[in-house]
Amino acid sequence: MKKRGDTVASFFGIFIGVAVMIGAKRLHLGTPSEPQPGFFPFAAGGVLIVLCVILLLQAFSGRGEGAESFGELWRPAILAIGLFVYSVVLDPLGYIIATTILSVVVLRVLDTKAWLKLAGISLILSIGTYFLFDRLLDVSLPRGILIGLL
Amino acid sequence: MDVLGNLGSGFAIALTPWNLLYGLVGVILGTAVGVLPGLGPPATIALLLPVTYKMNPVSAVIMLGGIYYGAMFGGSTTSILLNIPGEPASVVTCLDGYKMARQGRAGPALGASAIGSFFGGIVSVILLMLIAPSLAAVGLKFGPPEYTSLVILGLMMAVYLSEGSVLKGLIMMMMGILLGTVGIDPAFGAERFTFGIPRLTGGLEFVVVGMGLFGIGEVLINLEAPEVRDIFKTSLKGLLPNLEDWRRCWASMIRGSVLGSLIGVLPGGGAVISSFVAYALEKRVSKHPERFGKGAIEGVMAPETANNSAATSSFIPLLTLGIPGNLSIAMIFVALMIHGIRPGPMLIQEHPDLFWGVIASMFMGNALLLALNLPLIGLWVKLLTIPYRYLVVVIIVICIIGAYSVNYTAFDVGAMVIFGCFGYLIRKARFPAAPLVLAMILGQILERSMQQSLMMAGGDFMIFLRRPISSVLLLVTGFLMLTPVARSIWKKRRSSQLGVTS
Repeated sequence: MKKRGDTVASFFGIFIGVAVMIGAKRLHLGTPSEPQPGFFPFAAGGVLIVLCVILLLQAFSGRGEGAESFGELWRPAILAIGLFVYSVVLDPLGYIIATTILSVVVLRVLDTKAWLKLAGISLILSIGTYFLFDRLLDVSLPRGILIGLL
Repeated sequence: MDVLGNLGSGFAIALTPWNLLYGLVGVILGTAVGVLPGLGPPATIALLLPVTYKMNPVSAVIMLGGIYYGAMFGGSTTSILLNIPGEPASVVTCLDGYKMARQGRAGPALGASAIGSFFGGIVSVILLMLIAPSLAAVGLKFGPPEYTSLVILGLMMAVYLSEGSVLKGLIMMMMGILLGTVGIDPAFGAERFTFGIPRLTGGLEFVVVGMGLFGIGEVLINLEAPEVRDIFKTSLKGLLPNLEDWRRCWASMIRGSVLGSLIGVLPGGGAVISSFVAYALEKRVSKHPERFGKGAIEGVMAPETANNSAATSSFIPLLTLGIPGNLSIAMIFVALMIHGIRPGPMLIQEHPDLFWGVIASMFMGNALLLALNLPLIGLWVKLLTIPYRYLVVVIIVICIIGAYSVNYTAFDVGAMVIFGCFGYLIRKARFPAAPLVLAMILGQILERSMQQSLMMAGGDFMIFLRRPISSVLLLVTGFLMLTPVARSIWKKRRSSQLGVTS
């Protein structure tokens, strides 16, 4: 098992392909002359499985490119988690508050030390983009708990 | 002449004050995006999609198109001054451009790339203007089997022209095709793979997936090791290449524009690939290939000319066949669909104002860009003094607003984050992301036309080989699939020529 990245990826692809084929079967396949909704995904899932099996065989025989090693993972991890939380709290908190918090977190992770600077830049960014998009460009953004103010 | 008359009416449309303004905004934003590394044209076009909802479609395409080719002008700036490509189509410009800057010749390098971009752009608009109507006439003869084969060829080209292993590209392509089937099936109205989530019945938003994979995914990768960069201080005297430079590179400019125009038309082609091919070609035809990589002005001129001509000519398949060949064009495809315009062979006849208005705007846009880039280069360089961490926050916010505003729901922001993480992982595993996103759109066209063809032929798959145009297209596809050897040679040559990482 020299190329662990490729092995994991091909198992993932095979899993997706099998799941799609089962799901497509339930949607009815029909015949080539009368294809039903499941026909196309079923065929595509099959091709995906074949391709992933080839990748798997290559990985086992030690050919292929393999994966890059991971660098420092904590920064991307914090950002990913932060963005997930953001998508959940965006509607209740509103764009301005949620974006300010997210921006503070990201800048902090990227080594901005002065808290005043952090907060200032984040506030300017969130309020500025809010007014630019919501007011000037008619792209309405959620107001959340500030609904009375905005 | 018919063309001149049409072009005249196109200028009448493009010269209205609002369209002029939108064009100007487009090319300025495009240049800025090109200058700033980390934010590519597709993400910017996606961000501005919701802004265009209330515009008329002509203005929308004028502005969005301006972003795409404007970025080709701006992209070379960072390549030359910083050795960091502002966008992927300027990766190869680093090789000789940065060397020229080191030798104190940043001015001529920047000048050559601006003039080359202008020239390439104009050549390509003329080509677009002259061949698009006749190509559309050919397109009108296309039935479902021809479209099926054309889309298959387009998908294969997208895989073959993307970086990395072909097998991995094919796997990404199939993933994209499958993602495109999520939602209500177009022929029968059945819900597919929605897992009972009401938001998914409308399908996965192409814009959301693209922003996740390219915008957020890229940021996540960059956060692993935040870069510290410093601008190479150089005096920007004499922006114009001297006579000796011109003697060396006038032919490169012409070769670059022809090559770029041709590659832009190919499905799956576009600005990025054309810049690599143009550089390789220059090196091969040069009498002194050893000068390349050491500050040869041809190595700046050719790829910069080619990427702008390819950006422009990649509008040809969109406007004549309705097939988007690359991500930026795919975003414009989405914009047209939102405005109720179905890109295809009928577009030029049904919406001549759109076609000729956009063409006229491209002539003006390129002239504007030349005017913006040469004297104002110092201003654009100032943009680069923004520290990367602020840029990261801005990119994240842009992606969030872009994803949110597609349907005005936080669900899409969540979906974008998931695809961002997916984008991070596939990049780590060295899978190319571009075929996936393109296949999401092309897959839907493929399913529809394949279904229609099969119903036409009573389930006989041979229909794709029996029709002449379709069989030729499939033959080319088959030929492509059988030439991984040629590709590995090409890859080796490319990697030996390029010492830069993108």
